[in-house]
Amino acid sequence: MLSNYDLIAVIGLKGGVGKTNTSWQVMPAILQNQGFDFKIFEIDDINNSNFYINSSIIKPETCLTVKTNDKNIVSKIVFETIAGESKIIVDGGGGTDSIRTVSLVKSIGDDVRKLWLIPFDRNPDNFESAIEASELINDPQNTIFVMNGYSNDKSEFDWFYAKKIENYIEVPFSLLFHDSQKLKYTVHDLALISKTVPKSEIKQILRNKFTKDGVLEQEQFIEAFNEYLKSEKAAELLNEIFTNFDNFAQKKSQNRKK
Amino acid sequence: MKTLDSFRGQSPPKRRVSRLKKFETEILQLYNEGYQVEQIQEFLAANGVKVTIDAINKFKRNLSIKNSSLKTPSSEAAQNSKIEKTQNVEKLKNDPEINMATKLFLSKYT
Repeated sequence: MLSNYDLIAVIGLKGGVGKTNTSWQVMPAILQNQGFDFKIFEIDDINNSNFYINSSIIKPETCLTVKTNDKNIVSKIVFETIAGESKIIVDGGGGTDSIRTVSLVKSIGDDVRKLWLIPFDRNPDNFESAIEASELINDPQNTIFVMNGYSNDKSEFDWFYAKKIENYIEVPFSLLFHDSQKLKYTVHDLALISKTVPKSEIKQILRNKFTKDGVLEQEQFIEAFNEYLKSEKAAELLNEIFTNFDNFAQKKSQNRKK
Repeated sequence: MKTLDSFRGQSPPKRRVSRLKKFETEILQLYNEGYQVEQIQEFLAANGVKVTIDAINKFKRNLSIKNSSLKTPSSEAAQNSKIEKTQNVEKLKNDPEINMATKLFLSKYT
């Protein structure tokens, strides 16, 4: 599905609904998993979200934070989509920055194929702004809502399911996003630890580290080992996200055929 | 000065020496190659030495197996694996291509 698009714009009229998570953690992981290169343009007058300095997938040279009044944004994005082979993620900033971003992205010609992502969370009031954003964008065929933060039974989103909206993807709630961000990398990077070093080797390393005078200091060992287990959980989290996304893409493609 | 041979001729040894002593090298070799004590017993029987399993085990213990090169194959393999794992980690830590998250984790715990 993503091969049909050159640019992915993440728009949120309200803050705290998962826009940064979608732009900097979820979409980079999905694109990476599907073998696409990507660049991130953050259009924001106040924030700079590129704090992922320890990430191996978000590299400083592939991220740019620009102000909404930067007259060259459009030409920069157009140039990137024409000259480069990377997908472009546009992180639309919050509130008025997102409104401005919508008009900037819309002003980019139709040659650049655009996908609009609108995150929302479990607060139904925030979904009203998501609807507002979609009306502003006015491109329903290429707009997807991103349901952020579902738990096991998803009951907190019953109000949303009742609306029978079809164009949405689901992202589970997880503290691992936050944990990764604290270490200045993404959840994708966290997952890499367990993929790089097998569990048996980690156990040996930690035993060596925490054995003093022939006695294993259990508490420290367990604490450190739990940190490693987070990496395995991060890999599971990503698998869930990838499956959700694939299922959605499959459904969308079947609907198109119909 | 008496030579060893002349001494041996005049005075026989009073201490009892294990019949297995003659086969020390072979026992060590077989054990290092992963043969079980029961198999070593068969080998000895084929050479005319009938001994119990306990006797072979005792003989091994007397050779200070634990601290000699005669480690059980499994413990030796485990030791090698430990060394290998430590070397792998060092290699990973110094690999310029390794992802930063893993590097940070390893630096913290090694």
